[in-house]
Amino acid sequence: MNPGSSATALFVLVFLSALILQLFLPWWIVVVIGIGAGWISKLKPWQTSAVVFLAVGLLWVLFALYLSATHSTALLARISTLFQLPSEWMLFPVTFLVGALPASIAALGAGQIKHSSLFKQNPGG
Amino acid sequence: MTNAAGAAEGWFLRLFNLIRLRPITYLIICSYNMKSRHIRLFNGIVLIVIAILLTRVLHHRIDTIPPPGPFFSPYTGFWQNMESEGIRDLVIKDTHLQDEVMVRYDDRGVPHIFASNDYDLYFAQGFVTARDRLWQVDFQSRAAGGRISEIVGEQAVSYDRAQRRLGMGHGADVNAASMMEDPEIAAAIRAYTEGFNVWIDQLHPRDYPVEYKIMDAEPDRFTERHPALMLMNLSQTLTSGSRAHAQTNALALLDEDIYHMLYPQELPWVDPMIPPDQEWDFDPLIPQKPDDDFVPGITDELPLNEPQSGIGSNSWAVDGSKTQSGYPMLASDPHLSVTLPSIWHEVQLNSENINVYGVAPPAAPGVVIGFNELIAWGITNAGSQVLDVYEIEFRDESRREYRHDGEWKPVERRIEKIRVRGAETVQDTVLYTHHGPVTQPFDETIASERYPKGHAVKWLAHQPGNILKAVYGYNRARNEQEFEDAMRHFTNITQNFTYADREGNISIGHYGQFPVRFRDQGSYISDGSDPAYDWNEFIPFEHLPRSTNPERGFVSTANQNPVASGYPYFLGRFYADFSRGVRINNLLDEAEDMTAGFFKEMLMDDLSLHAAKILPFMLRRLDNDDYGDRRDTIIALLEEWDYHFRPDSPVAHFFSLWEQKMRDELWNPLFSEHENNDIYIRRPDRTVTYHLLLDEEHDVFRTDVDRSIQAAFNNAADEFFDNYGDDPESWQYGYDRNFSVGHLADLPGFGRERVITGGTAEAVNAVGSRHAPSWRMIVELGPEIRAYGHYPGGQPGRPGHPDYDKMIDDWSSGTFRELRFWHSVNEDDELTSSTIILKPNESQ
Repeated sequence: MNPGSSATALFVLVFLSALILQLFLPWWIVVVIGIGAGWISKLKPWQTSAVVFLAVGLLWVLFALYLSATHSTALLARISTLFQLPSEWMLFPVTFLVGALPASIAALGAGQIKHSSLFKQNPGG
Repeated sequence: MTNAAGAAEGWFLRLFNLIRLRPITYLIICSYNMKSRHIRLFNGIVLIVIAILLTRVLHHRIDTIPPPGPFFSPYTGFWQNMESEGIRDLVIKDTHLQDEVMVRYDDRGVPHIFASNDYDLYFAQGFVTARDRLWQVDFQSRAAGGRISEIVGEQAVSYDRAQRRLGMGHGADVNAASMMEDPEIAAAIRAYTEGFNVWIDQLHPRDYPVEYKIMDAEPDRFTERHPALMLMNLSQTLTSGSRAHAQTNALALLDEDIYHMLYPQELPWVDPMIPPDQEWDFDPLIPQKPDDDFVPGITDELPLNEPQSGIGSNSWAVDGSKTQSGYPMLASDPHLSVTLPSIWHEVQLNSENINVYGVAPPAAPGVVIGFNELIAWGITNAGSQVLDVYEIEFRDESRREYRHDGEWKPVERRIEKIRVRGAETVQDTVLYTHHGPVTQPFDETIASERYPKGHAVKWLAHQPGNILKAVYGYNRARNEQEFEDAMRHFTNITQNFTYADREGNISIGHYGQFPVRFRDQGSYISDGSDPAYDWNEFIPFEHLPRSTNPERGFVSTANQNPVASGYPYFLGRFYADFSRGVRINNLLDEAEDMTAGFFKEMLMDDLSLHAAKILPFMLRRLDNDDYGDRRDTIIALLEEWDYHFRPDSPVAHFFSLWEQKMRDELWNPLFSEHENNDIYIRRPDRTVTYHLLLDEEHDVFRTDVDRSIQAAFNNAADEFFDNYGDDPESWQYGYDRNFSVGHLADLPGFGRERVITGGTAEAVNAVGSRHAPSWRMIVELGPEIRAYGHYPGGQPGRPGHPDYDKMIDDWSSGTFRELRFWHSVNEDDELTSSTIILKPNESQ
């Protein structure tokens, strides 16, 4: 399979499943999704991890942006003062990282296991 | 109270360190390079473990850092707490309701509740209060009862212990029991409780107020004990202060003649609340007197904190002879520590036999300060002594028995269990004598160090009482008689009430239960073994200080002495000084044809009679040369100053600095010796200091007065120029004073910084350093009742709502909005911003 189209497909899959599952399940379901993505992906582990990183992070930031666009953002200044952030816009990258990082590390780990001696007949295949 | 402020510090740094932990970096690099499939397996497992550990870390609160995962998730975290302008319409069905209730929010976010019976009315009040103030009610109730540790953790244990040891929970139990014995009040409390919990129950965790998410906590359900906890909270603020040990120490350590000069029975220049010509037409009860002079021991190791000195309030009423309309007018202006969310919640309650508007502390059914169609009332703190400190003689080290009335009596031991987040439950044993609890342990110091170690306190708030019965009654009162009848139930929080009605009557009274005392009983540490020091009787209701329709056409209170010395009972001796009271009386005396506009100016009046009294003296005592240009500028500005603490005054702030330093210079030589030994003595009152200076009683100061004033001037000037520069154009009191309205739990960013405002503690507009006017209300009685007001906060206590701190602007600029008082559910329909309809659930 073409890794390019596979990356796009994986991105869409991760993005949509994270979007839907978080409606009923706690935030850490993104870590489970990361493991699943690492497992099913045909990409190299680091590529899978990058896709998960982007998909989860973007989902969180886009949702946060949507909420900010449709509500008063007075609260953001308060939260950023609470955390001593230099600007309220810093809340967006922090949000991105808090969701994306554990999910992408999990994806990387799952990918490594899948490509390891236990499950692979041919190295690098 | 909480260390959330400190907690947030360094939050980001810690998170940042967490996510770039070196092992992770190392492993990621390894995984790119290693070809070995075995190493891949190992790396993969390690990475999964790391991901799971990281997830765990991000899922929990560490110290006071919110749990980052759920907190930053846009599905559950703070992003969900952002709100839009206005308030959403709601339709709620509940089986407990008897009939449909319509709640209309007006253009200021005030809910107007239209119900057809008491149950539905208080149900709806509980519901709308929970909507606006859920977290505040929960946090304040836990703070009152000493349960903050279960949210905050170990840092709060000493705070909780102090609350438990003051008997806050005990007092709440006693009060809740007496309120629930009264069928009418019990029904109101049950309805309020039900309504409050219906709001909580329909919340999804993502809807929880943001403070819960920050503290990683969940709402506690409202119970029938919560109103009593809230009243205990008010009592603690208003009546728990004591100067008994400070006075005891001063009396023991100072020469007797000096002591009496520094702490006179009455402060100078005071104009008592009830004019001195009032006659007291009754036979007073005679207090039991002790046989011999009791000399209490000195109490040491107490920090030098002044007990709640800024708590105070103004209220006044004028009759029709002094107003343009010919009908009475009333103003009320309680000064409390101002926080966000605000201590007050504004509401109108309308049902079959009630139509009342005003403010209540969230968690109390009814309206505490306000007006109805026919009457209006205001409140100030009474300030009479209702907390006594007793020296206890225990039989032996086991402290199982104490001496009283010549016998050994058993000590009751109560075990307090304090649940602590992330730690073992803490147990504390509190000793209770018949007076009350021993508030400080014998061998250690815990928070709230106002009461000396090993002493017992007797506090009015521990007495059974039913304040809500009074509120219920006066909310519905139609005339003075009904108001008075209601006030018989106002027993265990002592307050002054002003009153005015449409019939043209005005009155004032000093209400609550006051023990019948011999002179100075309770002013010093009392003898816990002598029954003469017990509270054997209370002053009968008919003997309380009251005045109706006085000849001068007005009544007023500013926490000064309630009565002149002719009143036959001793009530206490630590009241507010003359300044606010005399200023109010001067203004009311002189003016005729008053309007609401005049009352607005009065409430915002920022003249300091302290400055007027003492500044000319201070300026005279400066020698004329050697001060340089900048100082000449200051002196010139002070000389032409009119003593008003306006926001744009260039010298008001300098005066405050200079005056404070002058008192330090004057009193340090006398007091520093004892203070260095950690003995708690209260400094003399400011006005006593002025009186001594103006009367040339300069020998008491142990220092040269002129030199002290000059030294204070030089120090103040150095500090002032350092901080505010040389340019008089840039000196602005309202800015330089740096007044802020902080968050209730001190969360950084959740208050309002640099509120530009005038006023000062001794002015009518009593904006001090922490305490300030917390609700300004003006009521014009008459056929068409009109009222105006504001408070420094906002109706929604949710920091994500744009109106969270909106009214602070009205408050600081003195902008009074008309309070919408509606007579029917459809009146002024165009002013409705949103509605809630509460419906009985008919399917059940």
